[in-house]
Amino acid sequence: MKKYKPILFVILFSFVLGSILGSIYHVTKTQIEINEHFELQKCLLYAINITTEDMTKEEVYITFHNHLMEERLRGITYYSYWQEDQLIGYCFPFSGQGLWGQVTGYIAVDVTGVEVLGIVFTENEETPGLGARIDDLWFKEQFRGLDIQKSSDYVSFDISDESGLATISGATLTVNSIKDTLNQTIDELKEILKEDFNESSD
Amino acid sequence: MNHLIKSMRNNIWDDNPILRKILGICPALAVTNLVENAIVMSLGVLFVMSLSELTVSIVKKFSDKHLRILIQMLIISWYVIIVDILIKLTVPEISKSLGPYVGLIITNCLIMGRCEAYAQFNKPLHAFFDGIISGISFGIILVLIASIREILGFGTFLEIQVLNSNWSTIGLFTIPAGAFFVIGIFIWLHNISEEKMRGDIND
Repeated sequence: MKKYKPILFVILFSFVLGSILGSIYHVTKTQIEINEHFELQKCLLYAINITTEDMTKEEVYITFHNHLMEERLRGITYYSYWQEDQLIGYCFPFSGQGLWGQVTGYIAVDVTGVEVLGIVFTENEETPGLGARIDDLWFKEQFRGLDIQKSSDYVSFDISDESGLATISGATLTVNSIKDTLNQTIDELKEILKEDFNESSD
Repeated sequence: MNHLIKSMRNNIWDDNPILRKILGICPALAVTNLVENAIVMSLGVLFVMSLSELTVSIVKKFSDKHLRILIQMLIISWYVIIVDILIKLTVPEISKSLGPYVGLIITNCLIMGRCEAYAQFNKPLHAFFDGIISGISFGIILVLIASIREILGFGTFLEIQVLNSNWSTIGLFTIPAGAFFVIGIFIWLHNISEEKMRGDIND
């Protein structure tokens, strides 16, 4: 029996720690989900260029429901953007492989598919201070008003290109992944706008 | 009390985790490009280290010696997950920018180093204070490294512009390789000042 004592101790100890952790998770789960949902609302409002910095939780909630409506299409949850009963644009999710893991976010485009209203990153696992700087305000802000009427390469970080955006030094791989993901998403979005919403930039 | 003062002096200067023991170098290289990151990392390490040392010191009586590393890893990761949950619960906006750091705390060899070298052989309360002091000594150096890197690499301090636009920033300091130079210079300065102090005592 003595030789099994250490094994029994480890099993018991793991069980105790695991149970406590499980209970903490269970108790906090709902509140964490509420927090995450609130963060998502703020992100989506940022994507359609509504600042939430000085807003209370209630104000964010009301503004969100005044402007954005959750809808589903082709198995994707997206949001339509309304202003005084007029449809302005759509917020679609995007997801792509960054350097270390998934980079997810939302891209807002106007209803005719002419320009990007804004982008926001909801999750990324990039290197803090380098790749994770895609979440910096200056980087995201430069996507506003980006022309997507051409047929490809909407997002470009080539400085010789007239519409080229500023890149992040030391984060080339992350920025290139973002570029490919966004270009692919915009292609798909334009197709959706054309086929499902009968809108076209052509 | 004397024990505490001695331990504080030992940890902060004589046996500094980064400058003398060369422990916890991974986060010192990876997350010191911005001061904000360094502060967050230091606080996380302080919390996990003090409580892990306390717990290791309490359970050492009940666990087998050859299983101690397993137990220590279990305790450290347990606290790191709790920190993660607490941050998500109380400050969700910080949690978003902090995500990757929390996981990095588990891999900090300094925490395990202190659990193994100190908490295993000392009373729970002493171990707890040792964790706090080690965390502070680690944090001071982390913030110092980050200050130099952020100012030279980005021209900012806590994301406030401090160098005017005529200064050209040095990209090397924004990447982890830049931290090698800063840490190297710190270790060199620490060594020569120690030698000088020893020389003064001998004279």
